[in-house]
Amino acid sequence: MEHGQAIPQTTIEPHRDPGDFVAEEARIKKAKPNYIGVFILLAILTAIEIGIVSLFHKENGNSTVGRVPILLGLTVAKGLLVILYYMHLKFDSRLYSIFFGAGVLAFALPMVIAFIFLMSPPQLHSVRAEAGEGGTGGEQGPTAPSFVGPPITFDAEGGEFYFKPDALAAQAGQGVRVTLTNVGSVEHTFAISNKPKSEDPTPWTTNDGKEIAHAPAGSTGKGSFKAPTPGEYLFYCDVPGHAQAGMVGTFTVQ
Amino acid sequence: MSAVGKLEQAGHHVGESVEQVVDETHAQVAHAETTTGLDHRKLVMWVFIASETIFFAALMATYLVYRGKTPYEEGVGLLDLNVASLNTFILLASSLTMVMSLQAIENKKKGRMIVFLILTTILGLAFLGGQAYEYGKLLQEGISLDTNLFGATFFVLTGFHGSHVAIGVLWIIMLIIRALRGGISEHNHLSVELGGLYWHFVDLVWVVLFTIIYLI
Ligand SMILES: [Cu+2]
Repeated sequence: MEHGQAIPQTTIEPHRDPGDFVAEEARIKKAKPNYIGVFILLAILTAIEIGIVSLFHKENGNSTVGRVPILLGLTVAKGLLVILYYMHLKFDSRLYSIFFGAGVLAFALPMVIAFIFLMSPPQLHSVRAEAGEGGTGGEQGPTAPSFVGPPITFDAEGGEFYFKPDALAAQAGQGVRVTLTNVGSVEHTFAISNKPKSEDPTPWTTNDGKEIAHAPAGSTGKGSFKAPTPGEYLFYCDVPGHAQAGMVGTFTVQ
Repeated sequence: MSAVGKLEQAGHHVGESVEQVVDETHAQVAHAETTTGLDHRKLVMWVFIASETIFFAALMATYLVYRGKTPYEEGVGLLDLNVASLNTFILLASSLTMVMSLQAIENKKKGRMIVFLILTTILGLAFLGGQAYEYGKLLQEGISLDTNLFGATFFVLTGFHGSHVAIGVLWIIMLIIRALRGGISEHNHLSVELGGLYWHFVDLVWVVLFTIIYLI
């Protein structure tokens, strides 16, 4: 009998009223979120992220690990803007937040952390080992490839017998994407020396270089490579005789 | 490539079943009285979003774990930040148009809602176009699902997200058709709200993907 009495009591409560849904909508309407303002804020935060990555990708050859927390912070801010305003969680019943929040906090986040901790150690070791082997003394050492800034592009024109432009500069460890446009009438290539210029001034005779791009007459060749340790290097065409004839450029790694 | 096909198929099934739930419950127009005082269709949508979050978290964790195991110039170095940035702005703008369409119908402006839904569809398709362009460039460079760890994790992660965008676009097109047939009114627009929640969730996932793939 007590149960029978309890039920009608609860239905009188305002939040159990079927009209509550309408009331909730009225609440959202009343709040009138400035959606365009939210969008502008999201765009600004994204622009800041892109700015950080493209402007401060490598300061004085230092590691860029420091920017990761900032980027993650900006990402969380953007995510919250989407969830709270576009997905209305800020104005909706707290129950939705609880369901979603429980999913994120109880499952998703611990899983990401667990994955990284369970699967990462061998990976971290190998990176450290590499850094120790190829390290230039005790300082920063080569950074993990994942933290190097965005790759640079080098669009060169090749012909008989020149490269235009004939100079290229990159940061150590940075990716370089080469596009060689052959405007000449014979095949040309883009190769870089393995050793600095001071140790090997003619890599085309010692054959100590690697070909990155290859372009038959009148077409374009593409390739990419990672800039080596700092120094002055050469890039050249490895077709016999071409480098001697002048198809050489300087490649500076900072 | 067959793996991508399977993944996309799986994604479609998820989308279909959700759409089915929405459709079935849509029949009862009036918001039935519930123990929570909330519309359970919306609650189901939030539970679904939470489960999708867990699903994407697993894929992201996998990507992060294998990141850096592929040489830079054969992996992350081949990505184009410009295309990804443009796609980010496109998807953020599509969230704005989506929320504007919901606001329009709440303000009893059905025509305006349809216009914003169409804009959202166009932006969604533009995003997919950008992704197709990006995939094309990577394939041109010889990177595919089975080339290396980067290819595998990158294509699975972005492929799943892309298929969610595609499902979202189809969902919105269905909303437009339903609206044109008179199935959506200022008193009955929960379907727009649910479609919107799904669409914003897809945008939210991209906000995170953009950072972990292209920025850090
Ligand atoms: Cu040549």
